[in-house]
Amino acid sequence: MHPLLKRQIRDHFPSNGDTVPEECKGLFGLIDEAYRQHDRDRAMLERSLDVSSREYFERNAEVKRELVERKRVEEELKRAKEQAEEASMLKDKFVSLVSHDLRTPFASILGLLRLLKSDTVHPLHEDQKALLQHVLKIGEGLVDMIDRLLDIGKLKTGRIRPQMRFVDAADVALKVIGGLNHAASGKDIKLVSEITKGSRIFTDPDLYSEVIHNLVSNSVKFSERGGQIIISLIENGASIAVKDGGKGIRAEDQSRIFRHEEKTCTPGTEGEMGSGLGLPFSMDIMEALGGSITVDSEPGRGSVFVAKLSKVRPLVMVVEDDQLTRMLLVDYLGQMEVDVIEAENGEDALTILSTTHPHLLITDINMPEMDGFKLLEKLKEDKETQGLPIIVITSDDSIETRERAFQLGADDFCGKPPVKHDLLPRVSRLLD
Amino acid sequence: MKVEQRRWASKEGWRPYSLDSIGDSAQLVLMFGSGSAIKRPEPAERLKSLYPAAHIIGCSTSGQILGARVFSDSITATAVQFERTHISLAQVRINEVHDSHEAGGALASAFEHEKLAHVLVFSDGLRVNGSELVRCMWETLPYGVAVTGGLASDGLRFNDNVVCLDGEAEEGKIIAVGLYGENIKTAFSSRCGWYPFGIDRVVTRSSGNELLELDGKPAYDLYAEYLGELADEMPATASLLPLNLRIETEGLDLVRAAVAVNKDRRSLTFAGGMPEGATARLMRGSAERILKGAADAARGLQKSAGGKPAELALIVSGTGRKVALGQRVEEEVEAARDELGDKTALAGFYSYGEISPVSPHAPYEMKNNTITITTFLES
Repeated sequence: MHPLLKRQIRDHFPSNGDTVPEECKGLFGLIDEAYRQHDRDRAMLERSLDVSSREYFERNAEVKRELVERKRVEEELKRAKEQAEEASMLKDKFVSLVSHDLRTPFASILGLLRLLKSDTVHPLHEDQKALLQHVLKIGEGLVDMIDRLLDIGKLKTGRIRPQMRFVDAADVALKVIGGLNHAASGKDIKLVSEITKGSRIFTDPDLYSEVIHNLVSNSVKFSERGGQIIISLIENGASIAVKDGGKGIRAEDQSRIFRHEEKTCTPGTEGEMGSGLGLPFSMDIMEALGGSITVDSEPGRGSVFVAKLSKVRPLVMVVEDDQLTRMLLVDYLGQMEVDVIEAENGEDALTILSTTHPHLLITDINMPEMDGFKLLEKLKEDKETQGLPIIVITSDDSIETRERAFQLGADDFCGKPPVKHDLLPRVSRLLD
Repeated sequence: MKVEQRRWASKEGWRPYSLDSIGDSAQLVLMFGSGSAIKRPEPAERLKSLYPAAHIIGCSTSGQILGARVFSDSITATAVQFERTHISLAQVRINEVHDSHEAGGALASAFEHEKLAHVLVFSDGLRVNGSELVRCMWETLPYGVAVTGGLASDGLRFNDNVVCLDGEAEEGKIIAVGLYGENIKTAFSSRCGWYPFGIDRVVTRSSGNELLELDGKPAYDLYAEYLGELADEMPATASLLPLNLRIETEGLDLVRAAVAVNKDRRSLTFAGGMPEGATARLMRGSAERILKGAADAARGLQKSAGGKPAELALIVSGTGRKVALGQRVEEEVEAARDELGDKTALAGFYSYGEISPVSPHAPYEMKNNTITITTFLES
């Protein structure tokens, strides 16, 4: 019997010693069982708590050890990353510095050699001239390589920052063709642009032209005499493709040609040499422009290189308090390939501009809250919006108003109510 | 539907427990008894003479529920006379635990699916992997037909485990009753009331129902450590520490209780599958939470049967609950009755595994240490 129950019986039935009356035995049996179950439950609960606490303690200690270890590894990784980044930056700076210090004397040497070659007072023998021509060719190749290294250095050290805007892809193609016509006609190769005027792409025109120049120049190098190189826009209309019928690239080489460390330098069809840095550098540029270069090629069947850019639809912001005029402007702009965002006054426009980046802004002058002049001032003060082209549109087309608008940095001016054939060409011009 | 209930005790034989008398119009008798009592042939023979037209089905149990009472050493009988419902029976035998899935399929295929409304199942509780059994039934039966029931048991003896059909009490048997027609309305609910404690563990080695290792350590050793001197009384005492099993790939969260131990293999065998990779946590039960679980399970059942009180409620409750509640075990049935009201006849048993879907139209599951209530109403 449970000791407590035994004591209770002894105290309550003193006359019976420690036994209970016969008729109560069954009941006390049940009570005894309940006491024991209570004790058992309690013992089990306490034991469970003890074992469980110990397990928690052990597991926590393990987690703590893991955390400390993870932190140590993280720190190590962080240090290693910082070191690698620092080394990479130092390397870029070093390359850029050395290249620059090399280029100046080298260019002078080449200049002097050219002088020597063209000296009419003491003309050189033909074989001497040929020798000098050879030296000059190698020297020019070296300067070209130094130029590339310098450009790569500038991109990597952030001294070149892309200035994105809408440009006409046809102009890019024409500029590239103009620059390479001489080299191409030397191999009797035809450069053809299939891009129609007014094909708008969103990019940094100088950097992107450089890439297309490299791609076309490569195509010239690897095309047979009498070939043809076609510059066109790819389907989405946002990127330029360069297609040649040259000797093509093996599948296994197609990714290597974009890597700096590979510096693949294959001679052209007529033994032309290059720095091997053109494509890696072009890839760097495209990455800085938020794009990439893809290649589709097969040995013997030519190559198509695409300098891929994202498709961006021009976004025009209309700031105008008069709802009717605003609707009219939105309607006109709807006839162009642009998206439109509306603001009711200068204050409203600035709020929207803190999160949205339009490519052109058209603003009225007389508006409540903040007028057009104040808006112009604010936009030109802010680094983020300084470069945003602005067309001022107002019914007050007095000389004073015009002058003030232009002084504050407006790019164009338009009377009110706006006339479609007057406004749209101005929009188009500023977007390109 | 009419219900007549009786109780058998060795000295007294069958005594009426309710006022109704349906005699030879009963089609089905549910019989639940202690392992030793139900294996005797006379009670079933006598019952057959009382209800000559009825199929008598049932199983060994750890406790018999009749009205709001719980008995340990008797047999209870609940005779049912359906007025507009047709029933059909199926049974299979199983030798190996690995055949559980197949057995479920065979059982479910034995029923005509047309107009099938509900299936009750009573299965051997030691040789069957309950979760595999119901998984295949779920795969085979038409969508919308629920399966409820339980696994036979034998208190903490884990010995006499039989399922009976018309006088034959056998081990390794599984019986199912199909209820047909639009007039039978069933509702069911299942609650636990046990709560997990301690650290999460991962099932690192198992084979079907047999749990060998948790976190790379023998399962037996873990239980021995938690149970202390009560470890010698396993598997009985292990039922006080069921496992909360989470199988994340299947979105399952179940309670599993041990039904056997193997000291040499340092393993425990559970009533359902213990898949490797599942997360397990030990559980505890307190009387208050277990009783609340019972009330919660019963609450709302009458509402879901259209507000009219059900004529019969089948209560299948876990053996672990009975052990944990001890002398308070009837309070669990009282808690259910308080919610169901006194117009509904209560019958049921304490089992090694309770079967029901988590919710209507969800897959059927076999759980432990829960209370599962199914109500029946004929319109």
